[in-house]
Amino acid sequence: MYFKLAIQNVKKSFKDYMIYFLTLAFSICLFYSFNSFQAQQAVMELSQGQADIIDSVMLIMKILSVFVAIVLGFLVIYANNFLIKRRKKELGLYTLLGMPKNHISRILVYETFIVGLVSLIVGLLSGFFLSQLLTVITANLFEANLNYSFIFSLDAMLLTIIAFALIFLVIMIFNTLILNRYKLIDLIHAGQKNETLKIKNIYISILLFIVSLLILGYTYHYALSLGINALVHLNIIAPLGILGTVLFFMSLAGFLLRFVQSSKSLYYRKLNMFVLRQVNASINSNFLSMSIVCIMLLFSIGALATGSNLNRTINNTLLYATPYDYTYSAYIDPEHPMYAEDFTHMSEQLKLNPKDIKEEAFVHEYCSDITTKTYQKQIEALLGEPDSSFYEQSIEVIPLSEFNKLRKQYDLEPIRLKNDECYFFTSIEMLKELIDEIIAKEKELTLYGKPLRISNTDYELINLGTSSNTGTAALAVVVNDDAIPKGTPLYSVYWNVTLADSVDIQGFDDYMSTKINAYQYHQAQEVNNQPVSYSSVTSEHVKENSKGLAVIMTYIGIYLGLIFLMASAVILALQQLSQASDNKQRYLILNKLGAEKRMVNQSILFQLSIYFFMPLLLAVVHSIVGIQVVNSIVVAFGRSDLFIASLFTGGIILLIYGAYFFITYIGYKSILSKR
Amino acid sequence: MTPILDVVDIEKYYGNKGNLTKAVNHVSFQVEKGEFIGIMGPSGSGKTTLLNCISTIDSVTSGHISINNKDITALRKNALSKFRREELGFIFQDFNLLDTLTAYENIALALTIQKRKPSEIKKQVMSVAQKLDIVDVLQKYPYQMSGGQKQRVASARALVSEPSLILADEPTGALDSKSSRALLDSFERLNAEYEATILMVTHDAFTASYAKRILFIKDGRIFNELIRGNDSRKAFFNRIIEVETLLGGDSSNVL
Repeated sequence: MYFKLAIQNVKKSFKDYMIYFLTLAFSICLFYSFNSFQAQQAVMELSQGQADIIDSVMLIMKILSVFVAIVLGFLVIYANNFLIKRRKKELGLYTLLGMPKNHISRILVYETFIVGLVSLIVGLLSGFFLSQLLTVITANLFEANLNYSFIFSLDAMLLTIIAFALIFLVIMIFNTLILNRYKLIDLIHAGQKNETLKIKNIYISILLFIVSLLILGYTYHYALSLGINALVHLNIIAPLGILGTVLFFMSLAGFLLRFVQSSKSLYYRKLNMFVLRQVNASINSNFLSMSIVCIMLLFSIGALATGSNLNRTINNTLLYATPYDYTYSAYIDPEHPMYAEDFTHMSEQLKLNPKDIKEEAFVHEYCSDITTKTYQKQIEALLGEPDSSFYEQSIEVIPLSEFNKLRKQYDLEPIRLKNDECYFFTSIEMLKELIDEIIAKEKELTLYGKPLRISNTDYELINLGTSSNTGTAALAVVVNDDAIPKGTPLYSVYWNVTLADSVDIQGFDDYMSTKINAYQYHQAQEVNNQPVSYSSVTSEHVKENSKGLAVIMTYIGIYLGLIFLMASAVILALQQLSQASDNKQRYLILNKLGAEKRMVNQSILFQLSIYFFMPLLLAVVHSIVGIQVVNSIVVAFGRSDLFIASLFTGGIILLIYGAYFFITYIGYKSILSKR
Repeated sequence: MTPILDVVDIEKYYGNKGNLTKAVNHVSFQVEKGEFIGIMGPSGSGKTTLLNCISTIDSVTSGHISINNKDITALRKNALSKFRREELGFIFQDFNLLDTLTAYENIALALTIQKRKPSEIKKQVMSVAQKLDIVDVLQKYPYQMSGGQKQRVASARALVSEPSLILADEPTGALDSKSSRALLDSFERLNAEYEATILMVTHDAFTASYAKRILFIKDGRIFNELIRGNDSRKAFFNRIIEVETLLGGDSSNVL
């Protein structure tokens, strides 16, 4: 019987349930699609590199899912609260008719179950479709081939069901608790009772507002002065930022009120006075959610902006990772030394068509008589205790002529060295600090028994050939060609090729991979019975891999950004709509006093704007600071272009947030006009 | 003299064919400028519906209502709002003050809705506050005031825009007798000294006795009319009670 009643209730208050239901279905849909990302790769032709990247990203996705589930959980609880509030009178009636509380809560449990079940089905179904769409989009971003078939992720579905079953369980407990707290008189008079007003002292608000500005200002200053280290000190910055934000919204209404009051012509203009008082009166129940929304928007903006920025940044970086179309590189085992002459005739030995090759260039790295142990002091100071084998690594020596040729490929000016000079550099970003320290402290080094002055104070992080790694030269020294004694064994060799325009890079790579093994074998027989460990890579490979990483990071950023954006919009929308019914009485008075519809609508718009755009405004300010900090990290990947990223982020926010704002406005008006 | 309010044969029906309720059934009357008129009747008699029709909150099914020579039954929605805020002042049983605003702001709101100048607003609010003796409570919020003070603030709000007609719906309904008396005294004074035209709906004989003329309504029709003339309030009160007994005359059928 109670189950029947519950079904009827859901049917009857369908309009009220609509918002709740949509929020639920939407969350479920997003959650499923988000997690079904794993299943997407099954229908895509991804290279090994891309597949590896996806594997590592899946782990991140799993962790993020927990986080997202918590956020969605709060969202759903919030929506549920909205519903209970609107139905207080009905619940009061049950109590009045003598229904015991545990029976009422049983009805509520059934109702939650029904709505939960329906929204789970609808959410999952729409999630299935959304994930198809996402698969297509992902494949597009990856430029991967799609063997399209309907994808379904059992994992994701189970995960979604479990997560939301937990959320519903919490809601059921929550509803029962709420019900036990209500008094009958409150339930019956729920419709008429205005929330008890606590008019706060406005001067305290102004004081708090100034304090919040000071805290925020200090936090900004602190974060900016730390730059890239700000992330390490997040345990200080985050609480301060949150405190500042909460205080800001706590005191904002009071401050605004006082501020506008100081201008009589503004304050006593149309319904301004009414709106400001209204906002000030309900700030007690709103400031916390405004703060939460602000912080969620900050996450959203950060994720969206960084996500879209990273993609561009990595694309820029690609230029530095791919100087040549094709690079063969070999690392020579010191036990079985090889020499430059062993590689000189590679192209003939591989029987390559000379017409295919536009340009070929070698970069030889020679072994030296000094090892990294020379700089033990600096290494241990900056990098900590490394593996013992690290100290056996030779400092790499590169002849000047080859180095300048390489620089030319990067469009860099050639460098000049005197006979007693050398040029110290690295192509590994992580070692930059160490090399900078060495260059600054050590003036000289002794190479092949000859003292050489370190001539440079700065250097570019350039790769010795096309490479998918972040850097090819660790601790490298460039010297004049004749400073390297004849017969010095190789440390490694890079054979860089620029192909003729007519040649297909992929085809060339395929040809090489079949030929090179035979060549390798032949060479091994001839030289020292030991195969050379080599790697070969085309610029296309590198681009593909980096692009994969960029796309996935972007994807996560935008995905999370969207969830937070929608969550915050939903929170605000629900809150305002629930207050709309509370405010009905007040607007009715305005109507009786003869306020025009247009004037009333303007005041609604004004009021909603404060609630929607104040958190957005502060979040934008927060994120400008935050992105400055994050950008200093993104810059490590290469150059970045903030302008495009901001434009993109702004556009998305305007679209989604604006849409929610508009829907809320329409809903607000319709609630007020209902009898 | 042209009447301020001219109600001509109005009807208001609720419900559908099968179940028609004639809340107001062929009612006509006039109110002259400076009159203080009471409308009395038992609950369900249609007096509130009548008031809602006059106050433009509800529309009539047939008939015409003219206020200050303007036929409000022919006005459109936006014109109605304009008319309402310029020509009418409202006093409600439950005060209908905005709890978020101070007394001063509540009164000022009626003027800001009319887009008056702030300088003008202050002058008018102060003047009406003096008339109603509420200068001390202007900075208080409704929850800090007594019922009588609230109703006087509500009256001030109704008066401040100097409307042609003040409509009061059970103004003493939520007040104790002392506050009621004080409020009605001020109504009487406003009527006498400032020639405010007041139409008051009530079912309380004591409250009605302050009016100069009383219309009795029963089952949607005008049942009787009493004019105070030169009677003392006490005498008028007794006459009202007599009519009320008559009105409730159906009780003889019960016994």
